[in-house]
Amino acid sequence: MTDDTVLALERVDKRFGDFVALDRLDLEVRRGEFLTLLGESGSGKTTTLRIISGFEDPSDGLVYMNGQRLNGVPAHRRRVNTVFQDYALFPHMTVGENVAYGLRFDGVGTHERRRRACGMLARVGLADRIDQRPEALSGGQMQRVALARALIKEPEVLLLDEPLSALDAKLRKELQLELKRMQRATGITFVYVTHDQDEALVMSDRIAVMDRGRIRQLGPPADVFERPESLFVAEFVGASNRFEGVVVELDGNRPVVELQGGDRLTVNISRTRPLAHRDRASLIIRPEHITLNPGRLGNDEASDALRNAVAAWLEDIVYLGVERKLVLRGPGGGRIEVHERGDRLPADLADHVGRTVQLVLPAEHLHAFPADEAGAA
Amino acid sequence: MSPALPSRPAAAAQAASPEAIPPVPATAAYGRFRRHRLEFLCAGAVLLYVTVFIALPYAMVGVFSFWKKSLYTIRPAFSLANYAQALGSDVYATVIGNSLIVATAVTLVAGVLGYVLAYYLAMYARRSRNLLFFLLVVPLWTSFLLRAYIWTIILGREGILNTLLLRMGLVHQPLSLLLYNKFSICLALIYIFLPFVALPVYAALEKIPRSYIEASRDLGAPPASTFRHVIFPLTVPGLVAGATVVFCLSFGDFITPKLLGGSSDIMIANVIIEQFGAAFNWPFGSALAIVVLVVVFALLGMAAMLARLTGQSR
Repeated sequence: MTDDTVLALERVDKRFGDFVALDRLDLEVRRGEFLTLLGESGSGKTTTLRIISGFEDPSDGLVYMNGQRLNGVPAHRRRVNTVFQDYALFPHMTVGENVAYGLRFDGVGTHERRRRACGMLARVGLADRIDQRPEALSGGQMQRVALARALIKEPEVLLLDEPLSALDAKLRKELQLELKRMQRATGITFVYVTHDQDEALVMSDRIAVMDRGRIRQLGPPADVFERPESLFVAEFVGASNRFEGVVVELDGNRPVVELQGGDRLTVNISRTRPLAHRDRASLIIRPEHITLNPGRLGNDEASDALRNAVAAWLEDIVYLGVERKLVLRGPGGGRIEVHERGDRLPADLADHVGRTVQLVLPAEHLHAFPADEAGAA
Repeated sequence: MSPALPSRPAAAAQAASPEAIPPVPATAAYGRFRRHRLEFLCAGAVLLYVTVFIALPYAMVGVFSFWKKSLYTIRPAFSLANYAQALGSDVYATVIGNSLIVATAVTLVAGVLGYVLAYYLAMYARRSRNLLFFLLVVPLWTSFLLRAYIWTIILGREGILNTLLLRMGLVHQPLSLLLYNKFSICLALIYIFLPFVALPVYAALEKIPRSYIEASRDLGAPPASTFRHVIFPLTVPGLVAGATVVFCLSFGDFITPKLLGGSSDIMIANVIIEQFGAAFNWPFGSALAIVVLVVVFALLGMAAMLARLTGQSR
């Protein structure tokens, strides 16, 4: 444990009956960082949050804050505050009373409470709503009040449990940036739970990808996105295309994988476990990283001449504004998606729908994993 | 859609558009009635109910209260003598006071016990919740009379409680102070009316999302403060509703005092019943009823005002 660790979980288990919610989880949260727990429902991210806040006790394992054991400390004595998914604003209190509520238990007097609540509300742009009831606010405003109510306590760690999930897409984008700005301005450590990978990528300093009660990968967004350590992370974070094949050649640290259709691809090395000759491998590549070979559009005789080229049948072109989504069928019949900016595509591409085109899959973006990994966990 | 098809959508559009309504009485009022048919129907039913079951009876009582009794008939008049008699005599004031004491005691005790019961049911009981809930409701299926009368068997000289106390050697002769006094009246009324508080409070507690309680804890509130600042204020409407019903019902009860009260414990409802029955003095009974009505309304109004004031100052 280093000095800048504000919160640490050591070998934390949590079982609900037969269900294992957390499986010997280790996690260190650094002071002042924005850490996101990213995972599907049931992956244990909310349970982790509830163990930190004190609403659940771990079945086993230790929780430390600033080097002090947190196990057994009741929720109301922890210097941790939560922004709840449904905001949980008290309906019988005004906005100001809601925000000031927590100060009551720190021995702050009535007038000082109101003054500070007013200041906090001003920071989230809602000072004029201080005497209204929460029910008069919009979803985004409620979210801001919930944030103000938690931040006014100046917690060591602020926990956010999918706080934007109830809002519409546009507002969510806006509030993502606002939350991030707030986090930088206050310097408070945020632990953020979400199942939305875009949200995680936009806001986080580090992302912990969770699956079945364990952290599968922990690192900065760029690492998690560009250098996934497992098939699970590669498929979960970002859209991806998957190919199955067999390792036929080990060219230094660049193995060559033969796909079912016979195409051979040079790939990036697996980071979890080395691939051996004749191993079955799953290849993952993001839609943005596949390029259309412009010179040889529809010219399938020359495919062998090009490294890492695959012939695919162009099924459809979907217009996405700046980008186009190309839907194709690979050599094995699998679906392939390609994202490309419209101006980088040949103008006559529409004529090729229903015909074969050539795709280039750059080796540095082609991640290979042992094929049995998905089931093994 | 092809024009050859019999066009249902077109027919629907025709019915919906105001121009297409046949020129029956196409006045604005008629249009409003058509659009809010169900609303008018419901409002009519409510009006009928209020008129037949509330306004008319009270109006009759009000009118009777100014009439006069002469020998064995009552005749129309405008006399304040009945009110003078009701307000002038200490006897009736004492009886009303009696009723107030009983009703207040019952409301307070049933309020506290009912709240505690509901709180346990909503917050702690898990597996036993349905059973306990069933046990709470099941007495409501039996007759009120029976539920009051059963206490004479429990509290009487030869009753269950005395027998038990004697067997255990705690007393040497049967206690007679258990029955036929205000204590036994209150006990029976509390027992009977407890669910009337517990049920609305339980409903209010059930409606409180778990996250409110967790948010309060999260913000540093110890359990007692969470109850005081979050849980209790959110259940006050349920508690007030329940307590009001209990107060009114126990104030107006005449069966329990008759069965379980002593001669000095008669309540105002007993007196009123008597005026309408044996005494055959409907005008005086009506005047008493109006006085009671005013007193109860005044009390409830004050309680509501008090509740609102404390609510604001919180």
